[in-house]
Amino acid sequence: MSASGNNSERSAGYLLLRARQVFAALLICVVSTAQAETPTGKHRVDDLYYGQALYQFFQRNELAAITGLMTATARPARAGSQIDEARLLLADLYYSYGLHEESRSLFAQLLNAEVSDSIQNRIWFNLARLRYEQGYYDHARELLSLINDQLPDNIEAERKYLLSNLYLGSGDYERAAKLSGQIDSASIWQAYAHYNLGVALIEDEGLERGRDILDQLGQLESGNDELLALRDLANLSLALKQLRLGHAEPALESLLRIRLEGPLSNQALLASGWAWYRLQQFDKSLLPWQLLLRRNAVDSATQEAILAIPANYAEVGKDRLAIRYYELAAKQFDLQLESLQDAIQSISANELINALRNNALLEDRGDLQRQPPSSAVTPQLHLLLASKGFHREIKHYQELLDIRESLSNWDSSFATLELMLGERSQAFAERLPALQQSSSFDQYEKLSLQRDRLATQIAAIESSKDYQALAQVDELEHLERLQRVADSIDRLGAQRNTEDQQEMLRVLSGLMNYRLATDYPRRIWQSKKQLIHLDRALAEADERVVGLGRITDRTQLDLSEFRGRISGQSEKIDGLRLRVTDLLNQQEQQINRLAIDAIRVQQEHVRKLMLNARFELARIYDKLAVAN
Amino acid sequence: MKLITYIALLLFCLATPLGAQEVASETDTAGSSLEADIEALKKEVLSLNRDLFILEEDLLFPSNTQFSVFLSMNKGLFFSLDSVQLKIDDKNIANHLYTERELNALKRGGVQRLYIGNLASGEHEIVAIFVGIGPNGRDYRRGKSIVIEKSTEPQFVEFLITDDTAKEQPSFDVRIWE
Repeated sequence: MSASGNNSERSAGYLLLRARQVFAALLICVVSTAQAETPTGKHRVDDLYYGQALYQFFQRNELAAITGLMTATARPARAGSQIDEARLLLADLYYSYGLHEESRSLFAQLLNAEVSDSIQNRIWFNLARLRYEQGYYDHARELLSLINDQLPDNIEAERKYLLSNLYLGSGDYERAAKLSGQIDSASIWQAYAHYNLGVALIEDEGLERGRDILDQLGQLESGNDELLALRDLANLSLALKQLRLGHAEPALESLLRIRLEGPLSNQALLASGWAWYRLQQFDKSLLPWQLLLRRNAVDSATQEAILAIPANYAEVGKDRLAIRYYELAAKQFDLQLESLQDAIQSISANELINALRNNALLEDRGDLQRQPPSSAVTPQLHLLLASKGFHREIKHYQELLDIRESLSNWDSSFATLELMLGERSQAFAERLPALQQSSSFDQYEKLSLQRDRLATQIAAIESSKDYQALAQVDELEHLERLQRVADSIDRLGAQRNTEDQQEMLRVLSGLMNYRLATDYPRRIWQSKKQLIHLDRALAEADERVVGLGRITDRTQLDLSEFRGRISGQSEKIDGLRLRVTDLLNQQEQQINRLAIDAIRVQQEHVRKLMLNARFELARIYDKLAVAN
Repeated sequence: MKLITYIALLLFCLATPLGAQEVASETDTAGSSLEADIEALKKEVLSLNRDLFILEEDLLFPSNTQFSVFLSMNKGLFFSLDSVQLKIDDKNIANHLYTERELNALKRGGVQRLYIGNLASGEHEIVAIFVGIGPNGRDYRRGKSIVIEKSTEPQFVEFLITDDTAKEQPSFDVRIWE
């Protein structure tokens, strides 16, 4: 029995490793979800461009979100009051987009800038999270210690979770427990923190306390898929530990809580079989294993069950049944090898790639990393699909597809930009002669010279007080007539007496001069006023001439600048399209290579299992032959 | 004894699937130059995208005629948006049908640009018609309009769908951004 105990212990250890792989996949989802939640908080989005980038970000359109933020921050007036928020999100997105240097540089710029305490705390937090993900735990802890105020609720919960993990890493379970208890119970981070604490405790001499935590987590009621997955994981982790310690009954209690349709159900069924086996209830141990046989035949838990059933029969002396099941196992492994070989051929024929491309999940960025592509080879790749490295490769593939689509869009819309620029240039060229005429200085200069002459005349009249110079047309006529009368009187003076006429001329001339002299101040003032009006009109004309000239120059400059900005871009797009096509091919080959490598490893594994089944068959036949 | 032999073989075999990770990491190393190429491409494409977006806006929508309409909403407790139709001076200029993802993005604080185009200076009437599911799961259709005086500056109009918790009804508002 000790041998079987050892068997179940080691198998439990293996299962725990598998469970942790699944957990790693789960954790990736949690982190990406948490990142997505980060910037929402409770603040009001009061900047349209930032809000627009968020709209793309929340749809997991990373490329569009980054472009939107880059455009907004390139035009600071547009980013409005949330410029720092926008740059913080951009730095975060650079990181998740794999541009680590750009991310670090932007964080550094933000830290050097005068940002609010709230933004600064979030920068410390984001940097700490990045360092934590990179495995620089001490640095992450230092950065977390710089946070001097409460963060928004969702981020605060994650901060406590990270810090709690850091305490766990250094073996400080007390502080980790205290901190995980302080996490908002509505946040999923509390469940993750409790799970990590529970697992750490049961693995490190805190069995009872760890068991209580996992047991409690294993019974939580929720409608949330993520929490349900974590509940299954807590139950499985606890059950496997109990199995390793030989506590089969409590192990079964935890295993029974695991959902039969959940991602951990195969491991749970396998472990249930071992638990019954441990309790020497061999018939009962067969039930979950036989259920497993009806499931995915390439699953490792199923493969183990295929061999566990005949081993169980052999153990209780039912050799004929053992032979029957070992033969069945050998046949199943044969079929598996065939199926794996078919899978290699399918992958080589790009079936996996086509599934990735056609999979509707590809349209929902982010979800691809949670759910496998629907293809015939997917069941054979479950281990690979759960690995972080393969997720990264698929993410690259998706990014390249996005880039290809973006470049293709530019390629088709670029013609519109060129057409628009061409039409604007042509329209401007047609209007240019009229504009040049309107903005000509000739007419303005003529008027300006006339104005100067008038000003000189007025100045001369004023200095000489020549009031007659300001006489009006009818007055000038009167003056001329008086002059003619005076001349006539002079001519007639020698021939006859003209005293009366002279007297009348003197009175009339006196009246005229009196009128001109007394009205002079008003007239000179009027003239000067007219001159001022003329100056104003000339200044306006000057402004319009200069304005028209400026508009003409600016339009010419704008058009030339647009031509400069457009020039070469089409070729650049073409060049990038070629590069993305080449990289997509390479990435497809990389994905296929990884998938085929993983299947070859499985083939090797199944061959060994088959060898084992045949060896056991031969051994039982020998035994029966000897007995006969 | 036989079981021990079996266990030894079994455990040896079971250990191998984990080797898949090692194989994968070797291939990862081989793919690192590809990763560097992808990173370089991403940087170039981002920079190109930024330049072209700005160019497109400057060229197609000059600031003196530029006119944009945005849409935002809060939690959407009393209204689930299916589609929106936008009219300027009684002329249909944009229609949008919402996916679950887009609705989610709006509810979480995203702002959608429904329309960008050119509009002559002067008075214009902007009408948005919202169709969806209202309180108690009933079909719901509401219009909201605003008359604007377009100047020679870029103009932005935002339609907002909010929850009126007191009336347990959706509320449709509109504002003009300076």
